[in-house]
Amino acid sequence: MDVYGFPAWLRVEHWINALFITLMVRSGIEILATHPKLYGRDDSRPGSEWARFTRKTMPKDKLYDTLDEEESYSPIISLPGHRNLGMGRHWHFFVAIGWVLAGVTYVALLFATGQWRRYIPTSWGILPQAWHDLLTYLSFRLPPHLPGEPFDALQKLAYALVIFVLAPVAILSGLAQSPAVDARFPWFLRLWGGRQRVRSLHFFVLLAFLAFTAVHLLMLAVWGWGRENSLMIFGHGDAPVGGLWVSLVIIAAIIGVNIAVTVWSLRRPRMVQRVLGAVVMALRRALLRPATSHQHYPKAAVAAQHRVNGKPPDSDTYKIMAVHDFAPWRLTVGGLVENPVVLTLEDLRALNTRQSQCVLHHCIQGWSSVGEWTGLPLRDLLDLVRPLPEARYICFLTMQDNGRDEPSAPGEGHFYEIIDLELAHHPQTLLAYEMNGEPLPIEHGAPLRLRLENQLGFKMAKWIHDIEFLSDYRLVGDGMGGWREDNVHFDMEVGI
Amino acid sequence: MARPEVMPLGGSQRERVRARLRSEHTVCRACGGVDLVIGDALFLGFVFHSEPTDAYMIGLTCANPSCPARYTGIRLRAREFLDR
Repeated sequence: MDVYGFPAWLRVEHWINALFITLMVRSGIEILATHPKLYGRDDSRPGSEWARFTRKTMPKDKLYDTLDEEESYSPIISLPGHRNLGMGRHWHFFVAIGWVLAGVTYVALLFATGQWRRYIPTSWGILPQAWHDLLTYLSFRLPPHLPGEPFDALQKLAYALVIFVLAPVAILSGLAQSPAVDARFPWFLRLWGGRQRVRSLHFFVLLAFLAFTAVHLLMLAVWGWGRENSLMIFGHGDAPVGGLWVSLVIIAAIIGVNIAVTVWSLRRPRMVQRVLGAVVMALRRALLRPATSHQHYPKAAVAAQHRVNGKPPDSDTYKIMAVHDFAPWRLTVGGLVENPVVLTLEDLRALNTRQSQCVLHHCIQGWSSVGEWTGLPLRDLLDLVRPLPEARYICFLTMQDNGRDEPSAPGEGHFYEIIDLELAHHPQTLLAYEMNGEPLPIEHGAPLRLRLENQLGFKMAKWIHDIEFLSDYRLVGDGMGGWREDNVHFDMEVGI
Repeated sequence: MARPEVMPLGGSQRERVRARLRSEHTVCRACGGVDLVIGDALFLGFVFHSEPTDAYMIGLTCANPSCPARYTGIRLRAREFLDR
């Protein structure tokens, strides 16, 4: 067996990988656009970013939220562009699943066929050789290939780094941004230096892939585009003209797929949400749903300023409730329960169980913050109202009217979010009425908000006034499982 | 535990609010009662985007125990009730 040849599986994998990388990079840029700032510390304090990709400035005399900070990037660089975080996430995770499967298959075949020798050096002597090759390239000459191998020493090392270091770091640094993973295994996040450092690292991985791709294309041109592509298309270097033309056709096809999925996402986002979401959600439900939060951050880690996503209800009814410390507020709990109740804030406080938790908040936009939340464990409310056997979901209805209250969010109607009843049993699922030892602030959801520590922040409805137990969520709103799911095509299951 | 956003009013501030209620013949919207107890003030200007930057909500409670909606309020600008 020729362990340095170009077998069909290797060639197919190469081109699939090329397609996947373009989709991953563009959808990754879409995700970055939603909070185009990078931080070193987990509090994501405004002004503390070490990099920003926006020129927006925020007002000082009015509350602004992170929706106001979102950027709209061009579809040329982001998938699909035009401020579509929901779509960007669907593509990023859908392609990531394919990319990981392709990568695992590729590596397995490398070792099964002995092809690993083309990438993995077996002698430290490759290091001085690679340095010598670099100097040769910098003097505008081509270094020799390693004896009997398809690459020079520098190329061999570069490929080894991309396949065995960069790709695993991309996957692991992505996983380390999952609230479910971080909630269940806080040590894993600490390994990376924290939530914002791993987000920054993930960004560097993106830059590294872009740099690798640029140098890779340059090297193809230098070594002979036609011959090199002939190797990667036909398995031999004897058809440089064919290699040239077919490579251009393949590149056009990759661009064509990118254009097609962009247009599809912009014109039929609901269909994309359903199709890609079905795949991604099934995997999330199986792998991330069981992750229960075991977070106990020290109080010293509590952020001095916790960012805000979503503006409070801008109604006289709400303001009058607030000035009276929410004495007129009532929480209605009903639907498929044996014992529907109406509770005041005092009733909630008087219930025997009161729980505090110091945890890391993960916003879907990428920022994070540590806060201490106190309130009633949701499972204790379940004990009080006793859901009927057919109840499978819980809907949290809020006083926030997005059409009125949130100019930066597209869509109308009262904000609501629906969670699976199973999540209510998690030990750190909480109805919070205090934050950092004080009554829950208005901008953070007063008088009552949900804390769901293994999910992303938008599921944690704020300004709650009604809780309904349901057998099916598809009859509520547009049937996607929440206001953000209905209006901006987020996923309902957000363990990552 | 006091809500940090809510500001207790001093005597002179309450007097200004009371004078304002009298001048506008403010009555309870729910029962028509004229006896409104002046409570605390909530600064609206920063948090609520529709409000002028110096707007406050002053809490009023109808003294009529049988009033169906005892909690109400009046919106004032800073210069209308705060000390200079």
